[in-house]
Order: sequence, then structure tokens, then C-alpha cells
Amino acid sequence: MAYLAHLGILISIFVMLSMSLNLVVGYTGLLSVTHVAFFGIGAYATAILLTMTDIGFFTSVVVGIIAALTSSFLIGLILSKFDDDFYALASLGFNIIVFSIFLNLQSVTGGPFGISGIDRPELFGFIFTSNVSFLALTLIALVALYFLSHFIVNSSFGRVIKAIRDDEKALQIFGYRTHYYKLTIFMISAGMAAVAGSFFASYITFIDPSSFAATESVFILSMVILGGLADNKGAALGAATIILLPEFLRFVGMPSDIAAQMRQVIYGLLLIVLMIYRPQGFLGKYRL
Amino acid sequence: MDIFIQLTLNGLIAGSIYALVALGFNLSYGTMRFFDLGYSALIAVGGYTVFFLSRQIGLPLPISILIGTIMAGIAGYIIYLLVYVPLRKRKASNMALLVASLGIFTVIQAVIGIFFSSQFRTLSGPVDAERIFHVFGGSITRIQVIILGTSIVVMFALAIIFRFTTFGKSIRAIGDSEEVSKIVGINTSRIIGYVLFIGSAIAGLVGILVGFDTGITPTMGFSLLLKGVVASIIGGVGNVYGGVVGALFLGLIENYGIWHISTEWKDAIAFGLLILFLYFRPQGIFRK
Amino acid sequence: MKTKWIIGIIAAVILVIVGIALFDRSPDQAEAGLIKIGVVAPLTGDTAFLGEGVREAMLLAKEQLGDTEYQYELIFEDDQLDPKMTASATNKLIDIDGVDVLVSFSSGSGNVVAPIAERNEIVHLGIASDPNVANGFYNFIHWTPPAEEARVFVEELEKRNISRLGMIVPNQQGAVAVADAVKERLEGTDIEIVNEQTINAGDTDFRTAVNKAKDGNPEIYLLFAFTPELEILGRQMKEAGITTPLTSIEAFELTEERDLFEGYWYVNAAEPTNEFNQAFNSRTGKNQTLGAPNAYDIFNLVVSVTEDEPQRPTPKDIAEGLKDVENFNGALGNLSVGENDIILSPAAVRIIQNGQPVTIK
Repeated sequence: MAYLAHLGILISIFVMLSMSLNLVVGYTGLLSVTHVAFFGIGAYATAILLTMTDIGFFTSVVVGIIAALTSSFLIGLILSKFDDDFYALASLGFNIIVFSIFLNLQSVTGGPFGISGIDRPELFGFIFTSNVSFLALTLIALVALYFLSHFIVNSSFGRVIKAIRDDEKALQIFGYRTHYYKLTIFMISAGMAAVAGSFFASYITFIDPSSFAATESVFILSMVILGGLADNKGAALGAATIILLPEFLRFVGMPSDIAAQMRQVIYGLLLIVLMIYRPQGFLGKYRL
Repeated sequence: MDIFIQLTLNGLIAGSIYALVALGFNLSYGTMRFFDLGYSALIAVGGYTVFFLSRQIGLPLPISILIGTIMAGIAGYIIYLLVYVPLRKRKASNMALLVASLGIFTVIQAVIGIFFSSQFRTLSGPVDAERIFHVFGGSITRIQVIILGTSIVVMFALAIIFRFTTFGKSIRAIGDSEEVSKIVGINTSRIIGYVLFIGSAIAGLVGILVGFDTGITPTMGFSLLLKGVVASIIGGVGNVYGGVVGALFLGLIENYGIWHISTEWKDAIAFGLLILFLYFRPQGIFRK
Repeated sequence: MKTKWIIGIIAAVILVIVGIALFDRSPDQAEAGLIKIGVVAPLTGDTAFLGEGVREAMLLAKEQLGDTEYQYELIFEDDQLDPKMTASATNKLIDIDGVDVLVSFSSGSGNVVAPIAERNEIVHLGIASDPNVANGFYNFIHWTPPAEEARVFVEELEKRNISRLGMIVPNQQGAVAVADAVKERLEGTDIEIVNEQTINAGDTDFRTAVNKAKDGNPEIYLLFAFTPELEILGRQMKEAGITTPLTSIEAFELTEERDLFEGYWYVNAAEPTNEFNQAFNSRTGKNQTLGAPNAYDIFNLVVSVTEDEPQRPTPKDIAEGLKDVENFNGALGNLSVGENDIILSPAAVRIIQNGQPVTIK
């Protein structure tokens, strides 16, 4: 049961991530490869605050969101100038720089040591120690974020960002300052990623920079692309599939020396085949 | 003073590796107009082919190197036929092509890992056998001189092809507009195929040279490609000389940059430079 | 079309859950005489060769076992040194397999496993340098603490009258931990760190760092890197014309390119017995890898503790037994469990001689 609850927690955290990234990639059509940077900022905010102070998990989530909003504002100011593959490349550049800071700014982040002994959340004296109770808390956050994202994409704001994706030039002619819309959705997405980061840090109780390298951004991006661009259920499906695949292989008993490599072969082929035959992903509504 | 000369040499060595990558990458970008990440896998293909032929089978080095270069070229051509041609027929966006090329990289590096394991290997023999030259108080090894020479030769060869042959003129025409080229009777699909063969062979050569200079791993190409892309953006994407100048510039800045700052910030310097260029001079040094 | 997809997905999820539930055997159903040891190590990915070494060493220990009172089962789970996969592997081993003992590799993984083990009251032995991994009643470390290695290292420097030390440190947990310990130990001595360079783990071009390392004219360079950065550094230092002696803490013991470091002394966490080295080498065809002798010892330590128990021990009995271990004869020499639940082995000064590591008497 603890194992299933664990998988539930991990999936929920990564659904938060893929769902938030979907706002940028699927709904706005910007191929962002810097998402774990904000995941990491949330995680480090919670880790530092819970080990150094006693302000509690929920306050740390808020601090994490603020930190992510601030940094995504600065990064987004620059990124919003770009589109298409230049956007992807510049955002990857930011991820590499942020990772470099996590790894090398030892006085703040602990550098390669990471931060251990992070507490589980506590609410009115109840500590979410067991996996099942933590799962319940994570699901509440997930549902809240789901409705937030649902609300955003169906609002008038959401219609504008989808229009940016479909034809940015036309929108600019109509007088929309598309930069601001791109920046705003990027910040919202970053804030949501920070929430996921806080849950991750508090659940695993240990974080180090390896969880926030640029390859992890690609990992989350592939969840969105696999499950479905511009569809939240699709993003959830993509996250669940990619998290469960290696767990499933634990029980299949593939010769372990080639298991990871085989997994990567399957995963790479999947990306290629999807791009040729179904560029919007399983459930997606928008073709990359 | 000595250290300045040595840093300049180090910058030129690193820069000429980036230059080779940028030259090959620019060929593919110049015709297909998307960021081909699959290119990075071909770097490893070259390195491992030589490792297999010379270290495991015992073929003489020159033959192994020749076959390694050609193998990478053929692999690039096959990828073009199997993946990029169908994608381009379906009018896939360059983001879809980018994601598919990520799939290609994932598959190839995993397959190499299955056959050769992911452990680091080197192609060169013991250090003492290697000739070390001294220039103005700095030192440089024979393989590094070869790397410098190769990048110059490849640059001039490409420049000559572009300027004086009909093949080169067709490439430039396709770079300007593929549609128009088709109308004037250029077999664009065949020309792009040849271009990719040449570009991929250059990638293979990079893998071999780096394999002799430091060593090979299945994922070695990825960071090299990123640096090559940064270099071509700095120089001006799609421009032969631009890529080389950008690469030398990047190599020198990286190495001068860590003269007084600690070495671990090297990647942050490189990608910071990229973002600066993208923001202030997205057309690069050389483009009008 | 869309509903079909959703039904398909729900069916797949249910299948997975049912499958896992079928595998689920709760710990109290475990066979009476069977002790299960779960190992979390990187068996795939870039660091797989390290996890393979741990696995081979533990399987070797199990094969060498004679007649025993209890049966022992080893279950290996892969984590690629990725914290989220470490948590998955640990939860799976506890929940599905019902292991009595957990073994983890690296400080990062140890830090993830330790709190889970403590909460579930399962013995956990980490091959890790970070002392936090041993926090709690059930957690142990089998790794010579950085402070011990630093002590022996500094004593050797003093013995050799070396006063100017250069250090090259990759930004990796294990390396920085030992580097910090060395710095702490040097306080109050006449030895000065005249040059310290930090390099990026995973990089291959250290030339500029190597050139900067010449400043201050060190008498010896202490390299903290392991494979492959160690070998690349060794080469690039030679290429840069550096003839100053090199030294390391542990790394020279484990390199496959020993000719790069011929004639150099270094400090090793312990003096691995020749029997272990030979057995490991004939089994795998390779030199021992980082942590392999520790893994070998951990298996034998657990066996020695459980064999002493008249009734099938609970994890609590095993933990209590481990705390009393003294003078255990292991692959890393004479082992005792110290105060902080850290299994100590005395560090040794060794030298690469004709391509073989030997202890300097």
C-alpha cells in the first residue's frame, strides 16, 4: 500500500508539472525547456525554509511561489522576445544557468551536498508522515491546480494565448501586446511548478541539484508531448505513463544491464513515431 | 603572460572543436531550417566506430578513421530518409522536427550504450607517446594541432564548395527558398540528402578527434552540439565563416572567463553569452 | 475516439495495480528462516558500472557463504542515483518484498533511504560519506568517514615534509566532503593550500583549470576526482607539462589506467585484503569499483549478526546486533561499529607500484 501511495504521490507531483508546462507549450505554443528550474526553486525554497526556520510547509509553498514568480518574470522578460526553436534554445540556456547556480552556490543551496532532513508538512498538529496521508494532501493540491489551469485556459485570457499560438502576427495587428500575455502565462506556469517542487522536497525529504538538470526539463516536456498538447487530461496521462513505465519494468524482469537502455530506445522511438503520425500526442488538441 | 598564451591556446583548441560542430550543424540548419539534435548522436557514432574498429578488431588507424567518418555520414543519410523525409512530407513544424530529432538522439545513444556500455573510454594511447609542442611558452599536443588544422581545412573546403560548384549554389538556393529551388528544377530532396551526408560525416570526425583528445561516451555529442549551436548563433546561423568565428569567440571567452572566476561556472558563461546574443544581436556577428 | 482512449488508460492503470497487488506479500508472511536484503544501487545509466560492482561484490559474498542457520536472499533495485527513483525502489523493497535490511549506495541515495527506513523500522546500511545518513536507530554507514581519511592524509604530508598543497575538486558530493575534511584538518598545521581549483563533474576540458593550478607552485596535487574525470585530469596535467607528484584519496585504487599514476602514493579508506581483490577480479575481470568491498562487508556483517541470534531476528534485533560489532574481519580489514553507527575501517597509505596498489609499511 505504501508503495502504491508512493507512486500516486510521484505521479501527482509530475502531473502538476506537466499540467503547468502544458499552459506554455500546449496552450501558448512555446517550447519551453526550462521548467525544472522553477520546480527546483520551489523545492529549494521549501527545503531551506523547513531546515533553517520553523515557518512551516504551507508558508514555504507561498515563498516558493513568490520566488518562482520573481525569477520567471526576469527570465520571461527576455524569453518572450523569442518564438519557435530560438525560444527552446534560450530557455534551455536558462535551465543550464539555474542548474549551475543550484550546484555551485554552496552557501545557499548546499551545492552538491544537497539538503537533507526536510520535514513533512504539518497542519494543526497533524504531521503528514505516512505516504497515504501525504497522498491525500498532494491530491488536494493537484485538484486545486487542475481547476486553476482549467479556469485560465477557458477564460478570455486563455482564448488570447491560444490565439497567440495559432497566429501571433494577426493578434499583434489587432493591437494585442502579445509579449505581456506570453510573460504572464509563463509566470503562472512557473508558480505552479514551484508548488510541485515544494511537495517534492517535503516528500522525498532530500534534494540535490541532480533533480533539476536540463535533462529533467526534457523529461517533463516529453510527458506533455506524449500525453497531449493543450489537454490537461493528456498531460496527466503522459506523466503517469512515463513515471509508471520504469516501475512496471521492475516487475517484468528484463535483464537489468540493458533495461534502462531498452527503456530509452522505446521512449525515443515513441517520440519519433508520435511526431510523424500523431504530433499532438495521445489526447492532444494542438499539433506541435 | 605564460598563462595568457596558454589560455589563448586552450580557447583556440576548444573553439576549433566547436567550429567543426558548428560547420556541420550549419549545413543541416542551412537547408532544413530546424535544430537537429540527432546530429549529436552522430558524433558518438564516429567515435565508437573507430573505437570498435581500431581497439576491438585491430584495423589500422587511418582506415578506421576513414570508415568512422563515412559511417557517421551514412547514419545521417539513413536518418534523413527514415525520419526527416516523412516528417517534411507531412509539413511538420520545426518544433515537431526538433522533438523527433531528440528521439533519434535518445535511441542512438542507448543503442551504443547497449553494445559498448556507457563507461568512459579513450581512443588515444599512453600520454608519453604523445608529442607535445611548445609555442611561445604554451604547450599543445599533436592531436590538438590536428584538430586545429582539420577545422581550418573543413572550413575552406566548404567555402570553396559553396562558392564555386553548382552543388554549392543549389545548397545556397535551397537555403534561401526551398520552394523556388524546386520550381527552377533543383532536386531538393537529393541535394539535402547529400548535404546531410557531408554534415554527418563532419560530426563523425568531431567524435573521432574528441575521442583521441579526451575520450568517448554515448552521450558525448549532446553538450558538444549545444556549444556548436551557441557558436553558430553567435556567428550568425547558416553562415560558414560565421560559425567558425562564433566558435573561436566562444572558446576564447569561456577560457578567459574562467581565468579569474572559478572554473565551475564555464557552462553558465557560455549560455549567458548565448542569451546576450539572442537578445541583443539575434542575427549573430555576421548576418546583415 | 476520445472515450476509447480514456477507457483504455483506465484499464491499463487497473491492470498495473492488480499486478502489483498480486505481487504484494506482506512481511509477516515471509518464510521463517529467510532474511531478505534489499539493495538500492545504480544498475543502469551512466553510473551503472558502480552499481554493478556493488552487486557483484554482494553476490560474491553470498556465494562464499558456507552452511548457515538462516537463508539469505538479495534483491537488487535500480535507482540511477536519481532521488525519486531511489524513493520508488525503497518503497517497493519494503512494501512488496518485505525486506529486513536495506543497503544503499551514495550519500544522495542514503539520504533518501534513511528516513524511510527509520519510519518503517528496517535496518539500513548506507555506503555514504555524509554522516546524516546514519541518523536514527536503524541507520548505519559503512564508509570510512572523510575526517579519518583526512587525518591519515595530513599525517603523511607532515611525514614527507610537504608544506604547499594544491587541490583539484570536482563539484560532487563525495569529493567536496573529503576536501572540506582535509581543509579542517590542515588548520593549525604548517601545511598551506596554495591552490584550489573546482571543476565541473561531467566536463572533459580541464585545461584551463589545470593551468591555473600551477599558480603558487604546489609540491603535490591532491586530485579528488574519480573515473572518468580522474583519468582526463591525469592526462591533461601531463600534457600541460606538470611533473609535480599527484596524490588522491581513494581514487587511484579504483582507476583502470593505473599507468597514469605510477609511483604516486595516496590514502585509501582501508587496506582491502588481497583475497577480496583477487576474488572480485577473477569474478568480473575488472578492478574493484567504488564501494564494492564495503558492499561485500555489509553482507557478511549482516550474516554474522543474524547467525548469532537463536530465533529469527527482527530488524530491531539486527540493528542492536550491528551496534555491538567489534573487530570484525572484513574485506576492508578490521571493522568496528563506532558511536554514531558508522562502521570504521582504519585508513591506509598506499602506492601504485608496477601498476598494482600496495600498502606502504
